[in-house]
Amino acid sequence: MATESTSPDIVPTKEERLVVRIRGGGPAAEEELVNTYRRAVLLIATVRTRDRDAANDLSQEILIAVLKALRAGQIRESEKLGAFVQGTARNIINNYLRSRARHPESDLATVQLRASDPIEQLESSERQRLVRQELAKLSIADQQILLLSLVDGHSLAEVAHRLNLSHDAVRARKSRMVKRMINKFVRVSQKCGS
Amino acid sequence: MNCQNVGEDGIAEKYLKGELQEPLQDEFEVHILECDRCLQLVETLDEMRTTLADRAHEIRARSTQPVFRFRFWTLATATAVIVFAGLGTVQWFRVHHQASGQSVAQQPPTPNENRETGRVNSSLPGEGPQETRERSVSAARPQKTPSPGGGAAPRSELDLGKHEPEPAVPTPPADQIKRPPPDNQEAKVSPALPRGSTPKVRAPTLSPEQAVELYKLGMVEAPPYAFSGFASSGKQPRKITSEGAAAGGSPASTGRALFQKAMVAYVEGRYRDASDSLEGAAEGEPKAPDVNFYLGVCRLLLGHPDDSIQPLKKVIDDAKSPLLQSAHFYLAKTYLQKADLKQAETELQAASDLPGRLQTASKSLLKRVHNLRSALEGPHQPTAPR
Repeated sequence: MATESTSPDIVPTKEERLVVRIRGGGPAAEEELVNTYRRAVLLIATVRTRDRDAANDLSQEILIAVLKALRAGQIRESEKLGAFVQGTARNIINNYLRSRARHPESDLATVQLRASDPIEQLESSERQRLVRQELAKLSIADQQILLLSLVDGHSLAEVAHRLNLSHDAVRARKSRMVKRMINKFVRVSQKCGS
Repeated sequence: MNCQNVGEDGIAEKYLKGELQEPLQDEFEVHILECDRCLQLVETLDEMRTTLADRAHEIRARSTQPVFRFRFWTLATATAVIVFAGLGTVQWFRVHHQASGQSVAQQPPTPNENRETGRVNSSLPGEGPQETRERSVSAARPQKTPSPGGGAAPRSELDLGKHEPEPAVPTPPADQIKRPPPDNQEAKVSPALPRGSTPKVRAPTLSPEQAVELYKLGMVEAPPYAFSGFASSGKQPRKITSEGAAAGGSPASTGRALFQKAMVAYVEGRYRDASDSLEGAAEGEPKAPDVNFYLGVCRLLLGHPDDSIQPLKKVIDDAKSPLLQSAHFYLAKTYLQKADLKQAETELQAASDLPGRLQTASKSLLKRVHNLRSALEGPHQPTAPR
């Protein structure tokens, strides 16, 4: 009969270890946290604000707020670090959207945040180039489908009507193109276990 | 939430569009904070959106170009158009010949008319030698109608190159004209043929397909004119009135001023005004190639191919004219509208021998004219297009 494992010697998750290291004052741990979450936080800020410049500023502010909170031991469930970061990001972005005012850059002199990882930046710019190149290879009809669907926000039925195509054809073509792009650019990450 | 949901339900796309409900949005954001693959997926989609948005103008501009889709209704419409065009052409020929017969019955004899026109002669069945007269098929033809390109519709009767004067001779009944016997391909009429006897047919009648082909060959598009080019000497056209132009200055300067005025009308598609001004310009500059060329072209576009021959020939007289090839080409068009295939072939041959932008078009046209002529009068070797 299996007994429920509630023993204290359970292996802590990666997030829990990271929280412990940051609370202990390790600068490498802070840097690791920033590198782990910066891209996602920037994306969240970009999507929520629709403003890349503001998103850059906000992502810095969010990460600083998270680090301050972790240093102060304000996180209660350290295994849910992702949710904590997301909650912090949502609150700061909502405050920004309410006030529409820029917040001060940083008042945490002790935290040294790098603007970005050069390797990551290089990968990002390379991905941008390849995405452009792949899109240019698509037929004009396929580009129209993606434009109307992804940028203009039309439903597939509207896209089909506008391009005088069947709904199924538009759905299939769009799905095929998106899958092709994703398979080409999305690496299989070991981090993704869900 | 798991990665499969993200891919299959299009959550990533909805997230980027801001279409997710708040709880689902929060859940998805937590997921992408923890799942690098899904984060990359969203980043890729976002990059695609950005790239497409950057190129939206270009894509939309290209999408406005009509895309031909071969559908059933397209085929049905095309078939219907072809059938109606064929029936219409056949009907037109029937009416045309009936009208010709009526005009013969009503008009007095004009025995020498054919010597000038060089057209097909025929007489009504049953007419004796005294009643026999030549008649032009085109005498009862409706008014010329401008072709799509602005020129006149070609005539149904053909001049296949037999220009030698012929005596007035009785002609066979209409049914013999339509279907000449095979041994009459030379289409020469013997001057010694006794009056009242059955002559050989001079030219065959066009089938509907051949008439359509001839019509297409004779279609004219206005040649381009740029004010910075040869004709305007690099000067912008000024506002010129006929009175002002005629009031002072040398004939040449007046002619040049009228030419510029004409070309303003020409580029605006007012060929009648352009032709009038060009006629004035030709008085001041009778040998100017540009004046004569565009005068010929304007007359051709207005449906007067007979009147356009002379100015175009003036251009051709100057062997160094930069408009030499164009003049040959449009003179060929003139002859095609007059259904004079041999002359058209000669001019097209000359145009295709010259270097220039019309060389390819001339060669192509020459081949088609040659094929049409061969079909009508039988194979002829010496003037085969090169």
